[in-house]
Amino acid sequence: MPVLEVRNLSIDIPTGDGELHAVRDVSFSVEAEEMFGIVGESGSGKSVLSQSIMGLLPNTTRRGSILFEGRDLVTLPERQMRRLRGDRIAMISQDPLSALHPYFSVGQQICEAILAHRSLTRAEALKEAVDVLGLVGIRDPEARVHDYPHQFSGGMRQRVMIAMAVALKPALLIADEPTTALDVTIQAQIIEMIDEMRRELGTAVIMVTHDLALLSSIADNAMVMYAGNRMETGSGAAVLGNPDHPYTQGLLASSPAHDTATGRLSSIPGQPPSLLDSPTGCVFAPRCAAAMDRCRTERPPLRHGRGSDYLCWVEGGLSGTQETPAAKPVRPAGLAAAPEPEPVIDVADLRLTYHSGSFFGKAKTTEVLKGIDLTLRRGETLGIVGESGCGKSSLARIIAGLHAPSGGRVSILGRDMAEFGPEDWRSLRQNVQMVFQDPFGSLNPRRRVGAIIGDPFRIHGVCAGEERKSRVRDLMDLVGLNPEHYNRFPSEFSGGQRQRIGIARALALQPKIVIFDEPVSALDVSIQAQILNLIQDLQIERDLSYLFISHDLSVVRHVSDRLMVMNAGEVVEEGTTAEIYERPRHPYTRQLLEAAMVGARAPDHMQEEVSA
Amino acid sequence: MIGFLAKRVGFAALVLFLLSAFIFFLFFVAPGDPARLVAGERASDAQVQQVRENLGLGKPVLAQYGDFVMRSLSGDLGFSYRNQQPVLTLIQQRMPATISLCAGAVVMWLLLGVPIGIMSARKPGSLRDRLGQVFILVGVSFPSFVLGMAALYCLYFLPRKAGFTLFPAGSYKPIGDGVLDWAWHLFLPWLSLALTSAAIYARLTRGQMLEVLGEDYIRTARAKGLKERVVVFKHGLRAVLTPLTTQLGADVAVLLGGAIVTEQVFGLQGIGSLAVQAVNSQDRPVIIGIVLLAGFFIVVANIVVDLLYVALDPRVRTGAA
Ligand SMILES: Nc1ncnc2c1ncn2[C@@H]1O[C@H](COP(=O)(O)OP(=O)(O)OP(=O)(O)O)[C@@H](O)[C@H]1O
Ligand code: SF4
Ligand SMILES: [Mg+2]
Repeated sequence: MPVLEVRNLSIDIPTGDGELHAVRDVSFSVEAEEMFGIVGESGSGKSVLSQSIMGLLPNTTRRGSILFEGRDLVTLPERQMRRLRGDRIAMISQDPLSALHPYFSVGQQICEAILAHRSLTRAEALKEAVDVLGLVGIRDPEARVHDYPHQFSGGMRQRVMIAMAVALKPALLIADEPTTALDVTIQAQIIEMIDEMRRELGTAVIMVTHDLALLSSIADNAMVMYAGNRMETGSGAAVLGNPDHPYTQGLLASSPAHDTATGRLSSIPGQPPSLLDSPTGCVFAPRCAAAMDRCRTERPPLRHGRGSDYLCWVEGGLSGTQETPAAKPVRPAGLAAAPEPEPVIDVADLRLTYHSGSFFGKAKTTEVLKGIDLTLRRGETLGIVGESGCGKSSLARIIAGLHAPSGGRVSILGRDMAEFGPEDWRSLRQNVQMVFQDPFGSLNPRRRVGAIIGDPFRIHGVCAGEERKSRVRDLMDLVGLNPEHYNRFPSEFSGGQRQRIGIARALALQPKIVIFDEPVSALDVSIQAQILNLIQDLQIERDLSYLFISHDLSVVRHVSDRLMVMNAGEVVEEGTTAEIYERPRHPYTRQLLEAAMVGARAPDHMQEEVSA
Repeated sequence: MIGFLAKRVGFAALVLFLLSAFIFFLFFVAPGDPARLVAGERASDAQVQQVRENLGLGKPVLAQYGDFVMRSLSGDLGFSYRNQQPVLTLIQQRMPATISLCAGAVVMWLLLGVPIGIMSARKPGSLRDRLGQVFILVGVSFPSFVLGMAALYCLYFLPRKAGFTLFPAGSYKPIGDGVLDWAWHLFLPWLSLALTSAAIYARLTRGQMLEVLGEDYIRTARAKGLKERVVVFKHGLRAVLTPLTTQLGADVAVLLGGAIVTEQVFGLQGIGSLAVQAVNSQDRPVIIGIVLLAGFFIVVANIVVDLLYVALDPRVRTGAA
């Protein structure tokens, strides 16, 4: 008997705009000790589904059934549901930094979970807490059990969360994006930890993620969700390696992890639909390359494919019908043959030190950058990788002239920044532009998009009135936005579109250098591919030089000619992308690569299929 | 920890010292001749001169200030110009009423405001929440003396008209004469001093609680299978205590201002009414004494809040950022 069996579950959430159909007619089952993966883009309903199983969404309407150990959780009274929660069903959430209470020690928090369900003394509970902390690899658990969450690193806190979740040996563990907030090297350890726990304790695990590569290496079975629908369900190998559904196929092809040559990514055009509508036909129809008339009017049937069940009118999917444009346009000058283009950014021995300290207290110094050397040549993309806090963004801000360095030399387009006069600063602000990670935070929500993109023209007094309008419209067209949306507000655009707005604004003054600081980290795979393609096209079209900062190795690898690996404020390795991938010399680089590989250990045949 | 405390105490001493200098020189440059005031309207010039000598007012200003500081440090705040009593004695006589008023009001507004805020935040949009919001709106939009008058009218004048006394107004019974009697007599002053703050604390608690209840760690607490009561009152309230403490530290400073008005309205013989009398009669030693006392309390209250902070927040306690 399966541990969990979800049958025809639909979940509606009442909102100010109407009923949101977050989950529609989803069915799946999970056996003991199974690793069941749920993938889907942001907003596809993964978290709603998983929290609903825990009974943590009280104001929703649920139809269908959730059978857990023979009981239907949809109709179970809250009192009994509470007894299951934490005891038989446990949860690990996305962000370990915010998921633990900052004011209670980890021991108190674990004991609390134990004491809520077992009649033990405090001392016995504490002993169990120590045991389980040891189990998840916390060193010296007797001492650390009294520490507070802030005394642990992000990865350690996630281990504590796992310890708390498995303390009572639950039958089902729901992990909602357990590694998304962590650095790559730690992600792999956490995934291994969860994998180990389920084998040791026989726990069934539901692993929710948007990371396909990660799932393909560990999931026994998997389900792909799109706009609240279950698009495809089946064995992990089949769904993530040999999918039958057009959406899954498109999703896999969009992932830069599966791209070995620096070519164009295939992408799924368009945006996910609004969950407020209830479409009569297939939800994917507006974006599907294989859509037929029937798809738009009738709900597709569930088909049995090569190793999975999928919702589609077309038999066997449609390999190769996604938007796969011609190979990447060749660069005007062959990089290797021609004489090296001149450097546009030259940085030597760059240092940045922060001094902190109170009026009375002792001053502390933090070295953020410890002597960075860097050269970016015209028309080239230099990728900078490193984990959070290694100084990537500080470096970018100094080069963009937004922050003064504490030492070293920066020269931009052949001029030393230390000797800049007012005119030089002006031209720096035009020639060097930045595009930031957060497409939501970096746009003023109360201003119209046309005005936002036109800002640089206004600030630098380039043009005004009708001319400005028409140039803004040209820019919108250039980055793939509909120029008719000139008067809309940022909130009316999706994440990917907002990132296009950010890029349009950056390109307004025809810069020579663009610094991208994690430009696609907040975006979904299918949208990410669209933006990466846009970035690459623009580079060739406008002869731009890029600094591309990211923690995502597969993305950096896809776009960069050369790579720089940073760790704790230092450059540990530098070279062409191919060199570094094939022959990493520094142990830290190897560690990063290996960590990324755990995720990308996709079946070999798929690699061939995509690169062919 | 000890270092931190020493630093705070040192800083407090510095603040008090500066305050004393400020208030002393302020009065020195102020118009009016204190010697004449003390000697009385009909005193002769010679008598006034005599008084001036006695009070040490003839010395250079810095010497006067030096005397003042030395005397203050030994606990002698001088004598009232008005009735020649030691200032310290005057203050000591008035202290119990004011402390009773202030402490009781703080307790009352916490007991009213915090639970109302929590009840509101637990079910936003519910009937309970809307009632709470009405309370907040009324409390923050009427000046506190209007609320005080309204409370006085409802709980004092109306019952009196009907022929009985629900709560007395206008007298203070020492706590030594019986706690119930003390509280009964102070109930109306407390209420009028506490109502506005109760509304402000309800609003603060509601806002903070709403935010905290949306935090991931609250979901974690629910996912552990804890009872909703435990989730709200242990995990939720614990996180709200810190901002509440901060607010309380700031409010203690303004509390004395409110106490002055309340003591006048209810005719309580406290520090507030003493201050009013002293200002009206230009009784400089008494005014200086009260200002220093108020400064002392504010500084001490802030140290207490800082210590509470350290006790409440393990991130501060264990020396992390
Ligand atoms: N409490 C809520 N009230 C209203 N709408 C909600 C609520 N929770 C989620 N939603 C909506 O339900 C939809 C599905 O959200 P859900 O969080 O399940 O997505 P997800 O697949 O987990 O995405 P992500 O990958 O970003 O975590 C979204 O449109 C979201 O805005
Ligand atoms: S049903 Fe039609 S629109 Fe939907 S995925 Fe299949 S082919 Fe595409
Ligand atoms: Mg989610």
